[in-house]
Amino acid sequence: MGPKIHAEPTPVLSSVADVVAFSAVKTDRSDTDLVRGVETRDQSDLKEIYDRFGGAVHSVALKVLRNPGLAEDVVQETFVTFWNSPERFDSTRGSLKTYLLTIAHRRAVDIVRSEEARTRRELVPPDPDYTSVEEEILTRATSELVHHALTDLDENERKAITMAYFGGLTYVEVADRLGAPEGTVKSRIRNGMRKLAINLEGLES
Amino acid sequence: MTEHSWIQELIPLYALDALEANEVAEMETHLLECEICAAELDSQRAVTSLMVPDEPAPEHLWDRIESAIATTGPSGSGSVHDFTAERAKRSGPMMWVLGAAAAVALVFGGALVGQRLASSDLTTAEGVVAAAEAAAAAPGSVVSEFLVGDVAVARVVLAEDGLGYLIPNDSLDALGDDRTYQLWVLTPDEMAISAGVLGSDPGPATFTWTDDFAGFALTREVAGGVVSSAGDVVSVIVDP
Repeated sequence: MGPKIHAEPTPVLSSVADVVAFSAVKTDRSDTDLVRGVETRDQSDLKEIYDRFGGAVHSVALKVLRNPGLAEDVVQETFVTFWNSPERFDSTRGSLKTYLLTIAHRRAVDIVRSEEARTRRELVPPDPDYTSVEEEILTRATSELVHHALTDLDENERKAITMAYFGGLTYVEVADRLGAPEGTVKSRIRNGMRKLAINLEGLES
Repeated sequence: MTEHSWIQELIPLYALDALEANEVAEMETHLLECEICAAELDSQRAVTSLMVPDEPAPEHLWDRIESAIATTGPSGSGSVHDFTAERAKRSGPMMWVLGAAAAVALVFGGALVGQRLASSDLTTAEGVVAAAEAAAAAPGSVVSEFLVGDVAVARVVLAEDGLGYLIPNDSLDALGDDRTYQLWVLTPDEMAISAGVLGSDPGPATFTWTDDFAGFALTREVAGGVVSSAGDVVSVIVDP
């Protein structure tokens, strides 16, 4: 005889919270611990890292490239690169999220600035509306503190940083788009980034 | 202005990848030698990552990554890795997740999967279904069904050796690309531990569980799966 099966009509599990308490089992593990797992070729640990940071990596790649197919290529490259050389991540230099985003952003920027992308505009669409990008970044800020730090920037500083990072532009290109002197744009980016560093000091990403 | 001072002025721009190519080379040469500037760069890069919103990881992309590391990864990926990559391509990703109490079982679970490859072709949906049927008929196996109303939407088989099978049927509706089904094991101490992220339109899948359990739950979650369910439950099995 087979086991007794109870069909639960309960539509929302939280209503039976007395019986079931969902737990974040794997989130108890630190990023460093997961990296160690990847070093021992544990794919489930890479999957956990992907679950934690794959969304952010995809987000930055898509913003820079504005091409979903290319963005997915960058996400794949980023995690394959990390899988092949996990020992290159140094936890004393920053968080794992920062490390993965650095790989992804650099790769996305390389594509945007490639000769092929410059000549084939269908590959990477033209500049987005950076005001909308700014608004999205503010709306989806990872915390109130980040939101306040970004809104605390001078508007010109925030725009220059947004265009450079999420547009994949050099400061020379930002200056060209804004019709501003290169030195002015450099100063806006430098001052804005330093303000952010001060206001966000100690906040681990 | 010294080279150090000049470089320091450019670090925020380098952190944004906003320098011109000729300046990048100079910056990177300096960073190899200057710990002060390297530390400043770490700080600036942390700032850039804070600007990037956290979002759910696109679930379908994991299949590509898993396939890529199976074919291009360094030596050390054994047959179990190859197996999981192939299975993921065919029946959606399955994340092996066990609680701390079952940490030892994870090791044996992996070995069991490898051994079973010899007798059961678990790289195809048909192979998983056949293996599930064989396991269901074996002594000591637990067999249950997830019901929605009176309609069975998926069968769960957990063999005595800890290898489990989830076999959905056509009554389990496909979800949009932004959603996924997720399987949970309910433990006697009233915890629910994720046994796998099944995808938006799951096929037959396997999981491992060798510890005590009190039931199973099937939920709908955001793509990529979650570590703590918001409670969108499809069905629960208690005391199977």
